[in-house]
Amino acid sequence: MSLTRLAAMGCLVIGAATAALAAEPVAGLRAPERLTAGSADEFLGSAGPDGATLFFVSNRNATAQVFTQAPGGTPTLVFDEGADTSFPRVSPDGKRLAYLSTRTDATGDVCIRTLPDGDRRCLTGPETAETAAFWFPDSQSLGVVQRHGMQGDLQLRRIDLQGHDAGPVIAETGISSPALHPDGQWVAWVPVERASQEVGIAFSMRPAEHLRLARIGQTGHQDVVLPLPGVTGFPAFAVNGQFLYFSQHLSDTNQDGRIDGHDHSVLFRIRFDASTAHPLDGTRPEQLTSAHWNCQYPAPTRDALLTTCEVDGSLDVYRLPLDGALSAAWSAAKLREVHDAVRNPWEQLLVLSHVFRQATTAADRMAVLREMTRIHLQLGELTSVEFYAHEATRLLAGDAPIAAWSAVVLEIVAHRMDERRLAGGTLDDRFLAAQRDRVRRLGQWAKKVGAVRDLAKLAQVEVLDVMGEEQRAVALLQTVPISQIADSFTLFFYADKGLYLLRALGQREPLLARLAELASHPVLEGAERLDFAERFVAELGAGVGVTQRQQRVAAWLPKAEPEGELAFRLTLESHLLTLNKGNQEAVRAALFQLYKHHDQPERRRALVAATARRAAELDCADLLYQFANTWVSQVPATHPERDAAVALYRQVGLDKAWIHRADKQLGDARGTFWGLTLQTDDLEAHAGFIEARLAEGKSDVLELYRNRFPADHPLLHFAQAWLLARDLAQPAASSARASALDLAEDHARLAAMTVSQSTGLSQLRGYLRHEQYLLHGNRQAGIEAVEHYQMALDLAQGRPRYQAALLSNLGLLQAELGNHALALGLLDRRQQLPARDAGEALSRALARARSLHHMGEAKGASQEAERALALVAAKPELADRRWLTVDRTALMAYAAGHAVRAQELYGELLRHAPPQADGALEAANKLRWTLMAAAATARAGDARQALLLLGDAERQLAALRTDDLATGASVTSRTPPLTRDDVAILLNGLRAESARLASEPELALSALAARLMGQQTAFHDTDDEDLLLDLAETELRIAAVHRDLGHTAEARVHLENALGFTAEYQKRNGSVAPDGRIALVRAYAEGLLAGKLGATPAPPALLAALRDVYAFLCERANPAREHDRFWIGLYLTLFDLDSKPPANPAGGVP
Amino acid sequence: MNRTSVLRLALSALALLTGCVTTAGSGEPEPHFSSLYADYLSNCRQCHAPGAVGATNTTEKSLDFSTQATAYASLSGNASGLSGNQQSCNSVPFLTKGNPGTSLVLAVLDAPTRSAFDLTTTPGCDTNAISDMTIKVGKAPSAAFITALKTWIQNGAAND
Repeated sequence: MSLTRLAAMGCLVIGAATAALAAEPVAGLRAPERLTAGSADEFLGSAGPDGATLFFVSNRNATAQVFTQAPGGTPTLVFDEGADTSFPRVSPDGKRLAYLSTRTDATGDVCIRTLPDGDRRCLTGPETAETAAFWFPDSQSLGVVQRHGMQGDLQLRRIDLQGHDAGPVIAETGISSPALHPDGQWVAWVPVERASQEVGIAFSMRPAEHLRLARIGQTGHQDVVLPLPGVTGFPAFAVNGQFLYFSQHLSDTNQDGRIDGHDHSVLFRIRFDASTAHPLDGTRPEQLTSAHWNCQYPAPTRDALLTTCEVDGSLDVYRLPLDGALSAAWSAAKLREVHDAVRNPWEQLLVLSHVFRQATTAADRMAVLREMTRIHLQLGELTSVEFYAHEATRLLAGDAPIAAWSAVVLEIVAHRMDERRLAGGTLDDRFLAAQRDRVRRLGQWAKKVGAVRDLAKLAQVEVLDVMGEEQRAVALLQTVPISQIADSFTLFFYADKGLYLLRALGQREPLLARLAELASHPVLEGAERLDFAERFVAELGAGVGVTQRQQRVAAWLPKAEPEGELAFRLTLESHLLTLNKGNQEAVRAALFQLYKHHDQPERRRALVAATARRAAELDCADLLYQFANTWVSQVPATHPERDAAVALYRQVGLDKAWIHRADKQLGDARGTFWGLTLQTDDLEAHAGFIEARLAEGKSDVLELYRNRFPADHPLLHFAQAWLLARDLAQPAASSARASALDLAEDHARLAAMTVSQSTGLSQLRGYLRHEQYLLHGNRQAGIEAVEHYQMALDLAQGRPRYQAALLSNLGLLQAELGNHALALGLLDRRQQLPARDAGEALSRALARARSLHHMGEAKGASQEAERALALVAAKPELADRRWLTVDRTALMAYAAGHAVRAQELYGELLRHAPPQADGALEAANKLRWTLMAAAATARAGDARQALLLLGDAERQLAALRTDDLATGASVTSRTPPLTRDDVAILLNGLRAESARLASEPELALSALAARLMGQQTAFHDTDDEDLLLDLAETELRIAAVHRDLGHTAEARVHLENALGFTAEYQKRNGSVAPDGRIALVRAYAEGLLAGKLGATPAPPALLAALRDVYAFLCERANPAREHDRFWIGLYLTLFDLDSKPPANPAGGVP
Repeated sequence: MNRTSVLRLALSALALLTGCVTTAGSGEPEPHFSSLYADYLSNCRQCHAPGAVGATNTTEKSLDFSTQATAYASLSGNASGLSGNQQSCNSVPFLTKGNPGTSLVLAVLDAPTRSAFDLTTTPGCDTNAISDMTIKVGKAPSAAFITALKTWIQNGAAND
C-alpha cells in the first residue's frame, strides 16, 4: 500500500476537531456570495447581456486572461490573447466582447472579438495608450479613454467598430474610469490631475476628491463632492439608470500616510435622476459593503451587483443584492437589532451608516456619528476620524460641547499622524516640541468642566506616553476616575489608551481593577460591559494554570456586583474551569442553571460561545452540543442572530461528530454526521458519514444514498466517487485500480457539473488526480491535482480541518513532483495546525525529510527523519510503517555524515526486518541495505567489516534475477531503476574505497578496474554523456592508488585518460567546469607540483584544461568556487614560472 | 327537505367522496394525520426509528416514525430518553388532545408554541429545554402545516 495514498486518505477523514470554532458568520448581514475561486486572482467581473453569464479576468495562467462562467458552472477561457488582457465588456446586443489588450502595445489597445469565439480586431494602435473602454447602447460604438504619447492627457473619445471617431471628443482632460448612463446621455468619471506639471500624467497623477458628470454633446461639467471621507473610484450606473454605484477608499487602512488604491475599498450607491439638470443633487450615498470585505469594481446587473472583493490577499468576483449587505427596506428597529448582533468593527460601521441615514433628529445623528468616530479611531483610520470630527461641528453648529469634543479629537488625530510620520519611530526634537504644545493645548480643555475634561486628560496621557513620560502619564491617568466618566466615547478611549499604558507598565492589579469598573459601568450597554468582562477574564487567567485561575476567579467573584455582567462571566468561568471529559454532565447542569437564570440574549450568547470553545478544546463532545442546540432553538428565525446560531450549531455538530469518531463512538459519529447531511449539503458531513458507517462494518452506504437521491443527483455521484476513491488504498491489480480510478473521476466530474465552489469536491478531485499521477506517473495529472487542491484550499478559509488535510496533501504531492521548496512551505503551514492522525503526521515528517534532503539540508533532513522514527516508536498503530521509516532514517543519517547511526539502522534492517510477501522486493531491499551498511561501516572506520558486507552483497547480486531490482520502483520517479550492472559498478566503487582504507591497494585496483569496465560497457550501450564524468572519476581514483604505490607513470596515464573523458564531455555539451573536471585538474596539477607524479613538466592537455577552467571561473564569479579559482590561478602561475610548487598546498590528490 | 338543505347534503356527499372535509366555519380542509405524516412528520424517521441511520445515544428513545401507524402510536406516548438540557421533558406527553399549546410535538416544530410552553406538572420542560427539531430536519415546515397540526390536535388528534 502506498504510503502517500494512505496518508492522503487518512487526512481526509481525521482532522483537527478542536480548531473548527474559528469563524463566526456575519450576523444579520447579507454577505457577498462568492462566484469565483482558485489560488489565482479573479477580478473585474461583469455580466453578459443575459445578466447571468459572468465574464472576468484571471491570472491563473500567469498572464491576465478573460474567462467566462455560467451560473454554478466552472470557468472557461474565452480566448488566448497571448498577452495581458483586462476590462472585458460584452456589447449590449451580446455579439461582441470589448477588452484592453497589451499584445502589440504595452500601453494598451482596445480590441473586440465576435462572440462566442470569433474574429479579433483592435480599434486602436500603438500611437495611443488606452486605459478604459465602454459600449454605447447602440453596440456600434465605444467610449475609449486614451492619451497620445507620454505627455498626452487622458481624453474620452467615441469610436466606431473600425476605430474611427464616432462623434466629437467627449472630454478633453483628466479622465479616469468613466461610466455611461444607460440612456447614453450622461457620463460620470473620477477626474485625475497631474501630480507634477513637469512629467506626463502617465507617470504621476492624483485623483480629485470628487466625481465629475457631463452630458454628452453639451459643453461643461458638474463636479459633485460626496459627503464621504477619502477617494472615489470606478463609478458604474445601475441598469435602470436610477443609481450611480462607486467604490470609496474611505481611509488610510494600510497606514502608509495616504489614501489610494492600496487601501480597503467600500462600495456605495447614490440615487441618480437623469431627468434633471443636476442628477445627484440632494441625495446621500448609501453604503453597500463593509471595508472588511474590501470590494471594488462595482458592476450592477438587472438584479444583482457584481464586485471584486479581496479576502486573505486573494481577489475574487462576488455577487450582492443591488441594495448591498443591508436591505434598503429595513426599518430603524431592524437596523438596531442588526447593530447589536454584529461584532466586526467594519460591519458595525456599515450598519451605523444606515442608522445615520434613517436618524430623524440631529441628536440621534450625533450619537451615531460619535460611535462611528470611536470605531474609526480604534481602527486607526485617522482620515475618517478627522472627517467625522468636522462633520460633527457642521451637524450641530454652535454647540459648544460638540465643538470642544471635536477639537480634542482633532488633537488626538494630529498627534497620531505626527507619530506615524516619525522616521523609524525615533522621536526627534521637532516632534517633541510639537507634542509639548499639544499637551499644553489639551491642558486648556482639561481645565473645563463636562465630558471634554476627561477626554482631554486621556489625550494628554496618550501624548505623554508616546513622548516617553510614562510616570507623568500614569499620574495623570489616576486623576480620571472611571466611575465619573459619563460618556461611552471617553470610556472606550480610556479602555484603549489607559489600559494599554497600565499593561505596558506591568501594573496588573490596577489594570484588572479598571477592567472590572468598565465591566460594570452604567453608561455602557450590557453587551459592551460583557465585552469588558470577557477581557477581564482573559487578563485574569493569562499565563497561569487552571488551579491558579480558579483561585483568582474565586477571589474576584465576591467583589463583583451580584447580577452584573462581571459576576455572570466569572461564574461562567468558574464552571468551565472545572470541566473535563469525565464531568461533562455535572458542568452542563450547572451551566444550564446559569443559562436559565440569565435571560439577556447577550449573556446567553456569551455562555454558548465560551462553552462551545472550551468543550471543543477539551474534546467534550456531549457538552459541546448542548448549548449550541439550546441557543439555536431559542433564537427566532427572523432575528439577526439566527444565521450565526445556525452556523454555530452546524460547526459544533461537525466537531462533535469528529470527536465521537476519534473516540471510536462510531454510532454517535455516524448518526451526527447523517443528521448534518439532512441540514446542509456540506460534503464534509457526507464524507464523515460514509467513513463512520464503513467503520461500523456496514456495507449499505451506497444503498442508503441510492434510496435517498435520484440517480443523477450530485451527492450520489459524490458518494460513489468517494467510495471508489477510498478503495484505492486497498491492494489490487493495477488494471483494476486504473478502472476504479477512472470511474471515480467520472462520478466526481458529474458531481462537479452541478456543484460548483465546493471544498470537498475540489479536494476529492485533487485526490483522484493525485492518484492518477501516482498510478501512471502522468505528470500532467499531478499538475491538475495541484490545481484542484489549490482551489479547495482557497475555498477552505475558516475551516481548519480542510486546511490541514489540503496542506498536507499538497505538500506531499509537491514533494513527489520534485518541488521541494514549495513542499516545505506547505508542510510548514500544515505544522501550524493541530494534528490528530499519527499516520498523516508520519507521512508529513517523511516528506519533510525528503524535501530537506533534496534541498541540500542533510542535517535537517536527518533530524526530521529521526522525529518520524520517534513517532513510530510512540504510536503502536504505526507499527506496519516502522521498517519503511527506519530505511528512510538510515539513508538520511548516512547523507548527513552520521555514519555510526546509519550503520546501526542498516544493521537493524538486515537483522530484524520481517519477510515480505514479494520475494523479489525483499531480495532487492536486502541487497540495497547490505550495500548501504557497507558504505556506512567503511565511513565509520571499519573497512574490513565493510569488505565482508560487500562480499555478501556480491553473492546476493549474483542470485538476483534481472528484473528483481525494478520491483517496487515508483512510476513517478524521474530516475530509472538500477540494473544489475549499475549495482555492480556501485559495489566495486565501495569495495575499492574500503580496500584503500583497509590498506589493500591491489584489491582496490582490481575493484576499480572492474568498475571502469562496467562504466565503459554502460557508456557503449547508452552513449549517456554523464557517464564520461563517472569514467573520469574512476580513472582519477585509479591514478591515486598508483600514486600511493609509487607507480607515477601509471598514475599519469590514468590522469591523462581522465582528462580525455572530461574533454570529450566538454566537446559534447559545452560544459567547461563541471565539479568532476575541476577536481581532476586540481588533483593532477597538485600531484605534479608536489612531485608525486615524477619530475615531468605539465602536459599541454592539463595546461589547456587548467586555463579553460580558470577563465570560466573568472568570468562567472561564484563564491562557492572562489577557493578553486584561487588555487588554479596559482598553479598556472607556478607552471608558467617553472618554479618549485608551494609546499603542501591545500587539497591534494585523493 | 328544502332546496338549501339538499344542496348542503349534496356538497357534503361530494366532500366525503373526495376526502375533502373542511373545519367548521374555516373553509380550510380538515387535517388528517395521514397528510401530516406525508407532508412533514415522515422526515423524522431519519433519526426516530429502530435502526435509524441518524440516531445517536441522545436521540429520544420512544418515537418511531417508520410508518404512519408507528408514528401515531408512539406520539400517543410520553417523551423518554432525553438527556442534557432536554431531560426535563422526559415523561411529557407528545400530544395533549384538544390542547396544542401543551403538546410537545407542536412545541418542537413551532417557535411561538415553544416559547409559551408551560406545564404545571413538569415545569422544567419550558422554552429553554425544548429543542427546535426543524433544524434537525433541515427544512422548516410550512405555515400551513403548523396550522394543520394545531387544528388536528385541537380536533382531538385522531388516527385518521
